[in-house]
Amino acid sequence: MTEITEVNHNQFRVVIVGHVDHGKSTLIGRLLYDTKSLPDGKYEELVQICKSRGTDALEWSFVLDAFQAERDQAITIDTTQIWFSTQERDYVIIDAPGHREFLKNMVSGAAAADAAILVVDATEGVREQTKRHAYLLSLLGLRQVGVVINKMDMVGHSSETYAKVSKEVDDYLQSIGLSANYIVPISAREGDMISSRGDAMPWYKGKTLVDVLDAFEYDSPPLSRALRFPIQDVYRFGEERILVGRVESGSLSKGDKILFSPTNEEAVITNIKTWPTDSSKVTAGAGEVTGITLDERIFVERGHIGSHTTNPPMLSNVFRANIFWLAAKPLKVGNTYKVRYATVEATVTVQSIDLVIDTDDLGQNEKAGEVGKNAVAEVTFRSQDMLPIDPYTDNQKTGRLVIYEDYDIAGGGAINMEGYPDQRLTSQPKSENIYMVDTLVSDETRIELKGHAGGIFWFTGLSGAGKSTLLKLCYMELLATKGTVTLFGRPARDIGRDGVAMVRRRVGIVHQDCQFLDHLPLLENVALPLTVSGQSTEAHMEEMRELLGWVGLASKLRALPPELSGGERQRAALARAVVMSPDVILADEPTGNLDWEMSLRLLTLLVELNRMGKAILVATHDLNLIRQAKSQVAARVLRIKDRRLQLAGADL
Amino acid sequence: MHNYLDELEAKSIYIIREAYNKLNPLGMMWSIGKDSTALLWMVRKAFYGRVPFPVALLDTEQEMDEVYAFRDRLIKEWDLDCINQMCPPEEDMDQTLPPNTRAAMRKTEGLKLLLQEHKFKGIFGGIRRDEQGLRAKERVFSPRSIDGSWDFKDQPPEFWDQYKTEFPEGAHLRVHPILHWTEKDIWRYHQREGIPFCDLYLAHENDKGEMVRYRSLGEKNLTFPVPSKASSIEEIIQELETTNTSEREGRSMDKETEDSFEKLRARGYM
Repeated sequence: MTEITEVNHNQFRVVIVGHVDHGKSTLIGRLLYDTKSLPDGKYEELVQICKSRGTDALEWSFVLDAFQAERDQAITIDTTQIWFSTQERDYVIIDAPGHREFLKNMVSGAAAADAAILVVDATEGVREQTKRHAYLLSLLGLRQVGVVINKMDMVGHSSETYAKVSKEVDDYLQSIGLSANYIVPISAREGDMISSRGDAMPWYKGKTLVDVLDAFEYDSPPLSRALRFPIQDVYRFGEERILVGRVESGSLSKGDKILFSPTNEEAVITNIKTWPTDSSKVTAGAGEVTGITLDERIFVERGHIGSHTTNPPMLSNVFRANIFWLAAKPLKVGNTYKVRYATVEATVTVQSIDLVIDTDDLGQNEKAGEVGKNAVAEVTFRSQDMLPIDPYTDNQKTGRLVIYEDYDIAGGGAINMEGYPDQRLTSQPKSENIYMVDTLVSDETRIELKGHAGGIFWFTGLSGAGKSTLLKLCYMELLATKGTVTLFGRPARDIGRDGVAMVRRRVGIVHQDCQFLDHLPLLENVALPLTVSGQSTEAHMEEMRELLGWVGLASKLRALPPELSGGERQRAALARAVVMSPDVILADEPTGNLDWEMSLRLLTLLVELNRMGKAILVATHDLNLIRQAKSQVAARVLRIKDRRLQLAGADL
Repeated sequence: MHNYLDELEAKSIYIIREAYNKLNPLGMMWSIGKDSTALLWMVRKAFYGRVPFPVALLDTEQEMDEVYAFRDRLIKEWDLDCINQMCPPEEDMDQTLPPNTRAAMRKTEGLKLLLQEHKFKGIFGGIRRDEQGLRAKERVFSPRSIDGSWDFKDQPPEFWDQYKTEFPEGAHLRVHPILHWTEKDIWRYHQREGIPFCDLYLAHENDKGEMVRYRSLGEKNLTFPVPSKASSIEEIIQELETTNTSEREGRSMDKETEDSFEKLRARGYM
């Protein structure tokens, strides 16, 4: 092998965006000319073209047209790549022509760009496409952005105009979490501040555009982050089993103990495999593709993520994502899609569309039922399986996903886990001291459900303290012998027997023992409240499927209750409790028979219901569960002690 | 990561392994040239010295003798399962095409035969974006319909190293692991790794006593050498630093009419 002295001569990828007619093409033409990147004879041809069209002024955008015609035979429908060089390095300009397929093509080209140049017309300032493009850059994770204020010759090279437009652009960029690394006043037509400074704007002391480009940096692999090694494949060559993949962040070394998610299996790296064999290779860092062997034959397959035992990815079967949607068919609640991130592949159901943002005017809509083509949205997805997940803010490589529809990529986005718990099966949390504050609430405490709509309450207390009794009072299975229970603004005593049906329609109940009819399939069991109230299951079939998908039982519609596991039965019970769209959900020891992992899954569902505005009352003796709940949602913990209801302290 | 060649190589190996995981049966077009041989080298890196799928030469019997000799050498040295796919004769081609384009179409038809016989779901090709404007538009995993045609006006999105790997029965994917490399990159990689290449790339005397070399290797009736004194990889790289002509300069079919190459590509050419 010959030693290469040159360290870095890679192409730097730049995407140029901006409102139509703000001068993108002119800028590219000028840039090619100024950096002497035009093919021989092209300049003379340009002069000729301009003369033949009766203009003495050079129309630089013709360069691009002619250049593209030559390269692409006038097909400018897709991302086009244009090469040029400065004295520093080689560049590829990714030019996505302003077209109705713009987003699809821009995403394909610009997602891999190292930096972006946003072109803004000095005479017009920020326009809707300026905003839209900038917004997409931020969604795509581009962080190096240069702004050029173009057509300075049209505003008399005024420093005031430059300052005004600069502020306008900068304010907008900041509002979407971007910041302009540089803002350069240019005239692409005159060639000012492109590669040479020119004489027209002596007041500007900053970099020229070419200097700005040269000052951008290559994206360096996230070496200092926590290790993420998504398994791409497992090769069995003879006796040896090699796990291959790309180190997405951090680094791994021979001798490291690796934790695999979601299986929670651990093993030690015995070797880092190379070909041709290089025994001095003992470490692989972010960006490297590599292969490892392990000391134990644990179960590992494509899609599992290797990490160190500290700072592993979260585990969850529900997550939110800020997405952009490219397909003609809209994304809808209840639809099932395949998503991929790193080497992880999962089938997910759209549980909710939380926000739709119009990329034209950035208008926000919380009520949209679907995400249409070229729209941007916040969406909550649910998977049947537990997934290893990194929020995008923690890991930009593993924290972004693409969504497939049929055979093609239909969208992409950044994963956001705000408010969702890590569901990793950990050793049981340490027991902590429990403080009670027993003066705040007296036995006159009224449970005014209406007044607390949307709250989440935990009842705890020793066995026999009266937790179940209290819940029974709330759905009128019992009537208070003393004191007053107020339900939906009316004293329970006044509601009487006739009003019970009304109350029960507004209250969903999850029992300790699930109380299913064993001879009926799951679907009919869950639909029972509908049937009882005289509605047909058929009419609600779609909602029923959606509901069962939400609790992860879409594939068990026809199963009989005895065929279900404890966790499945409990989730089914929750589905049954919400089938009538109640305002309040009461759950009596819902996790009583479940292991910790299943308990967390159920908890996640309860928290989601609470986010949808339901009031939740849970009676449980499981303090670990309550702590977990408090870490993700504002919850009040009430303890029944000595026949009094007490508000438990914040330290629980 | 040491330098940019490692980055380029890492990206290519990742793509090779994705295709191997997702597409079966899988094959590779090996033109015996510098690009597909560099690609083959990376395949061996990806699978620890093995080439776990067949490689295919689309043979028009018009390759230069040195090319055939080089092929036979590597088949032996690298233990390759090499399919020599004979291409249909020129008389069978669409006679409305210009003559050289027609000759190049033979490869396209040969490829169709190869796909029919081996039912490949995926086939690697060693094309690069900087070779030609239309290739610049290519995706890494590029779908082809049953007849091999390429709909370059409506390509699926592709980003964040996530690829299209599913498609209707009968279609296939062309996989392009070195799309992001340039001609210079390929030579620097050859130089660093010590990958064997055919001598025709180096300057040699032609029958008129001029010093010439091939920048791009194709059939003898379609490809011509360019004047050059570069007699080593170092000199080739130096030459490329200063040249203003295109790599496919010596390919006659690209230039017959403005859209020759487009016609070829749309009909399934590499």
